[in-house]
Amino acid sequence: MKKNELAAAALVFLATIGTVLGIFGFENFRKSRLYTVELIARAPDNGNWYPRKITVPFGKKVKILIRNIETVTHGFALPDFNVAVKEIKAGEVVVVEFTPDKKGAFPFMCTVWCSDQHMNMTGEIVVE
Amino acid sequence: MLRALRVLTMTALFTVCLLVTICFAAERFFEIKAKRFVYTPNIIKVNKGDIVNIRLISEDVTHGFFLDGYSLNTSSHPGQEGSLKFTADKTGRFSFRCSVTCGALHPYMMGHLFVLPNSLFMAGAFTILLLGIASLIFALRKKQKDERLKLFGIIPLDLRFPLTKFKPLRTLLKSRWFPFILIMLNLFIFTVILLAGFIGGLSSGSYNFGVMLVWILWWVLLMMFMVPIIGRFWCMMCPFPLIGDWIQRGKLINVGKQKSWGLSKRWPNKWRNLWPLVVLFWISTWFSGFFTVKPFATFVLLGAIILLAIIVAIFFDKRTFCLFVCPVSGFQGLYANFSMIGVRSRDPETCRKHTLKTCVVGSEKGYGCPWMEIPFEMNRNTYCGLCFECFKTCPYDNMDLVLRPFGQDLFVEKRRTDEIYHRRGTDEAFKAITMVGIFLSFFLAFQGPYGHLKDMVTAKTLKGYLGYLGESFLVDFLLIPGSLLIFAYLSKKLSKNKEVKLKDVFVNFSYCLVPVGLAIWAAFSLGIILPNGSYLLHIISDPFAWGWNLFGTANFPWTPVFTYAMYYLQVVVALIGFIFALDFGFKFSLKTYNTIEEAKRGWVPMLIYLIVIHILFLKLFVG
Amino acid sequence: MKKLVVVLITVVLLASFGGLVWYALRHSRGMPVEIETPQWLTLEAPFLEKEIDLKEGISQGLWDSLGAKEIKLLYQVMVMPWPKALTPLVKAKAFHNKKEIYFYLEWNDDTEDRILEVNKFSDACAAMFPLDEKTQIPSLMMGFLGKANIWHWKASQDREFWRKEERKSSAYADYHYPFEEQETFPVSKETPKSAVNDLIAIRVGTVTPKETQNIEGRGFWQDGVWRVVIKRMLNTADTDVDAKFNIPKRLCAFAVWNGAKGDRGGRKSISDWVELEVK
Repeated sequence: MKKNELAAAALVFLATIGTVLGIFGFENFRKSRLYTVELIARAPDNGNWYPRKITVPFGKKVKILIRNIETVTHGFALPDFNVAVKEIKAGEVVVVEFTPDKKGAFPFMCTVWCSDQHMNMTGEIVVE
Repeated sequence: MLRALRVLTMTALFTVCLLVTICFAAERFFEIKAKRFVYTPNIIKVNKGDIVNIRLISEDVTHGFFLDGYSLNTSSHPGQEGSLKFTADKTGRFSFRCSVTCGALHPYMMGHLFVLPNSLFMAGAFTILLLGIASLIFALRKKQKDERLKLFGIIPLDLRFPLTKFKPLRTLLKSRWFPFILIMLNLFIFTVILLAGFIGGLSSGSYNFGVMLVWILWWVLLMMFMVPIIGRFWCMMCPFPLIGDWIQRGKLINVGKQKSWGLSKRWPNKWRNLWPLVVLFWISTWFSGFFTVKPFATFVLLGAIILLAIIVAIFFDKRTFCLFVCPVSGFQGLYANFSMIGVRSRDPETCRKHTLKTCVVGSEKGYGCPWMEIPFEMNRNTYCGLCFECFKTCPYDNMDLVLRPFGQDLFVEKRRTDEIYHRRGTDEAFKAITMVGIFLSFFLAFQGPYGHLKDMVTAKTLKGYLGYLGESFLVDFLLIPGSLLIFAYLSKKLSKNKEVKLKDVFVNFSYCLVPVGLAIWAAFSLGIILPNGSYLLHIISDPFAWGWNLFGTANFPWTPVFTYAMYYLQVVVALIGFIFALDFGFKFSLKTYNTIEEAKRGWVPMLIYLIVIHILFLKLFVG
Repeated sequence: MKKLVVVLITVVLLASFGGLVWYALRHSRGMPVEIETPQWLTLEAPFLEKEIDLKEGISQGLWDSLGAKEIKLLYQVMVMPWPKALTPLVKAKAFHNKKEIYFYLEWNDDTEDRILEVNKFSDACAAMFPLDEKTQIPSLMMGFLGKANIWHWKASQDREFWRKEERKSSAYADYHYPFEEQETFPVSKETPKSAVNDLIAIRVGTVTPKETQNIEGRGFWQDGVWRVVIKRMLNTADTDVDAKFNIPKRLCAFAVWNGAKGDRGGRKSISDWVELEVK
C-alpha cells in the first residue's frame, strides 16, 4: 500500500515540478543550440526591442529568433543586410538569418505602425 | 401532428419571405474605421442582392475584417487600407470580426452586417410562438395529473439505468486510482496552463496556452458537453482540491485517518446552500474583461482559486471549498440536475439495514463522503462531486452510476437536509437567474458590436467600470428576478389559488431557467469555439509562443469554421432549451398548484414570460 | 497550536503567491527595462529682420549665424518599397521675418544628382506640415488620419527652374510602382513654376499638387553637402490647404532622397515629428 502512495507522490511531482523544470530546460537547450540571439519585439512604450543592441561576429551566420510578445503587429527590417519580415503578428515568432559581410553598426527597426512611439522602435546590430 | 404543422408553417413563411423580397440590387459603399476594439459604423444594413463595397481603415494599429457566413477577409495597417467587394446573397445577421490580433480584446472586436430581410430571425420568432401555442394547447387539453411524470410525455422522468451494472466500470470506480489518475493528467495540464499564464504576461491571449485552454476549450466543453450530459464530471477530475485533501488526510491516494487535519471548522448551516456561490461567482464576473484575455490575469485568477482551495481546506472540513466557495461550483451543481448521469444508492432496504453507514463515516477502503452528502439518501446531483468514495466504502456495492433522462432531479422530493440548509429555495432560483443575467452581460459585451460596453468591462474609465458593475447588479438581482416575480404573481393571481406562497411559485418556476440557462450558454459557447477554435491548433504546438512546433500545427492560421451554420445552430440550441423549459414548466405548474385547473391558468403567464425572453435571446443571437 | 500552524501556512502561501504575482507582473511585458520617454526635437524659428532673395542665392552667411538642429533620419520601412541606403542626418534651421518663413536643410550626399534619365533619380528633400489643429501621431505617414501640406524640393526641378536649361534627354523615369527599369514613360513636361512642389496628402498614395503653388526654394551642392533653402509667405489666405504658422508650437517632419542610391517616392530617409516653435 505504501507503494501506491510513493507512486502517487511521484506522479504529482512529475506533473508539477517535473513539468516546469522540463519545459524550461528544454527551452534553454533549444535556444542555445539553434539561435544566436532571441529578440523580443515590443513597442517603445513597453520597453522597445530587447536587447536593443546585438553584437555579432563578422562572417558567421546569424540566426535571430524574433518574438512578438505584444498584442499588436510589429515588423522587422535590417535594410543594410537586406533582411526583413514585413509583419510579425501578435504572438508570432519568426526567424531571420543573414551572414554579416561588413563591419560596423547597423540599425534595425519596426515596419508596422504599432504605437504613437513607433518611429522610436529601433535597435542596433554591431558587427565586429 | 403538431410537428408537421410547425414544419409547414415555417416553409410557408420562408417562401413568403423570398417572394416578398423585391430586390433591386443596389451598390452600397461603406467606409469602416477600425479602432480598438470597435468598428465605426458597427452596424450596417443592406438588402439581399446588394453589391457591397467595404473600405477598411485602421486608425490605431493593424486590424482585420472577417465576415461570418461569407468567409471573406481583409486587413488594414494604419496608412494602408483594405477593401472587400461582394454580393449580399445570403440573408440574416452576420458578424464581421477582427482577423489580426490588435490588442487584448481582439477576439471580441466585431460588428454586425444585416442582410435584410432577416428571415432566420423571423422564422425563429415564429417558431417560438408556434411552440408556445403548442405547449398551451397541450396543457389545456390535459385532463388529470400524471401518475408518473414523463419527459415530453414519452420518457418516464424517474427512469434509471445503472451503468455500473457493467463489471469493468464498477471495478474502475472502486479503484483508489480512479479518479486520481485523471486528476494527475489534469494536474499536468494545469501546470502548463499556470506556467503559460505566468510567462505570457500581457501578451496576446490567443497565442497563450493558458488563456486558450481555459476560456476557449474548457469553458466550451463545460457548458456544451460536460455539464448538460455528464453533470459534475469536471469536479471529478479537478486538480484544485488535491493539495488541500493531501494536507487534510495526510495521504495522497491511500486511506488514512478519517478526521481532516486542520481547524476543521464547519461551514454554518445557513450558508450550506447555493447563496455563497451566487455571490462569489457574480463577483468573479466583475473581472471577466481582464482574465479572459490576458495570460497574466488568468494566472492570477487560477492561482488565487488554488490558494483559496488550500486555505479553505485547512480552516474548514473536507470539501467545504468545492461545495461553497469555488466559483464554478454553483452552476455546475444546479445544472447537474439536468444531466444524464448521477450517483444513487440502488436498494434502499440494504441501506436501511446497514447501521454503520460507511458511505458517510468512511472505512479502511475509502473516506466518508468528502462532499458531506449522504450517499444512501442522495436524490440530486447538486452537491455530489462524483469522487466515488462511496463506491469504495459501500460493503454491499449498493451505489450505482445511473443513466437517466434529462431533468430528473428537478422533480424529486425535498429532503430533511434541504430544509435544514435552506436549499432548493431562493438560493437555486437566484443561481439560475444570475446565470441568465451574466449571459446577457457577457454576450452583449463580448459577442456584441458595442465598443462602449467593451470599454466598460475592461475598465477603460473608472466611471465606465462602475457602470458595468451597476448594470450587472441591476440586471442580475433586480431586473430578471423582478420580472420573474411579476409573472409569478400574475401566475398566482390567474390560478385563483390563495394559499400557495408567492415565494414557492417564484422558486418553482425559476427552475425553467435551468434548461434555458444551459441552452443559452451552449449557444454562447458556439459563438466562441467556432470562430476561435483554430487557435487551439496553434497553442498545442507552441504553448508559450516561444517558436515551438510540437505537432506541426504552430503555423496554422486563424480559421473560423462554420460561421454560416453557426447562427442556425445557435437558434436550434436556444429552441431546444425553450422546448425543455415548456415541458418542465407546465410540470412545475402542476406541482405548485393544487388542482389541474389552477395549474393550467397559472401556467399561462409563465408561458408568456418564457416566450418573451426567448424572442429576446433570439434577437441577441441572430437579430 | 494547530491554529498557529494553520495561520502560518496561510501566511506563507499568500506571501509566496504574492511574490509570484509581483514577479510575473514585472515581467509581463518581457524583461523589465527603463522606459524611455524621448521628447521630440524642437526647431526654433526666431524672428529676424532679414530677407533672402533666392535669385541671388541662399545667403549662407546668414544661415551660418543660426544654430542648427540635428535631426536623425531613419529608413522609410512602413510602406514598400524601401530605400537601399540611409541619409542618417539632416541639419535644420529656420527663421521668419513676420512676412515670410524660411527653412534651411543641410545633409551629406556624395554626389549631386540633378539629371533625370532612365534609371537616374534626383536628389530631393521635403518638409511636411500637418494641417489639423490636433495632429494625430500616425499622420506622420503622409498625413494619415488627417491632412498634411508637403513642400517637396527636387534637385532636378531646381535645376530646370533656376537654369532653364534644356533637358539632355527627352525621356525620363518618374516613379510609378513597381519601379523597375522597364517602367519608363516619355512624358512631356512644362517648365516648372518653382523648384519646390506645394503638395497635399491625406495618406500614402494620395500626394496631390495643390492648385496654387506658393513655395519658393533653391539648393546648392558642394563638397558632398546639400544646402537647400525653402521659403513661403508666413501666413496665407487658404489655411485649409496651406500650413499655418500662427501657432506658437506645431509639428513638422522632414525627408531626404538620395538619387544616386535610387531614392524616389517611398524610398527615402524620414524623420520623426519635430516641434517647430515660431517665435
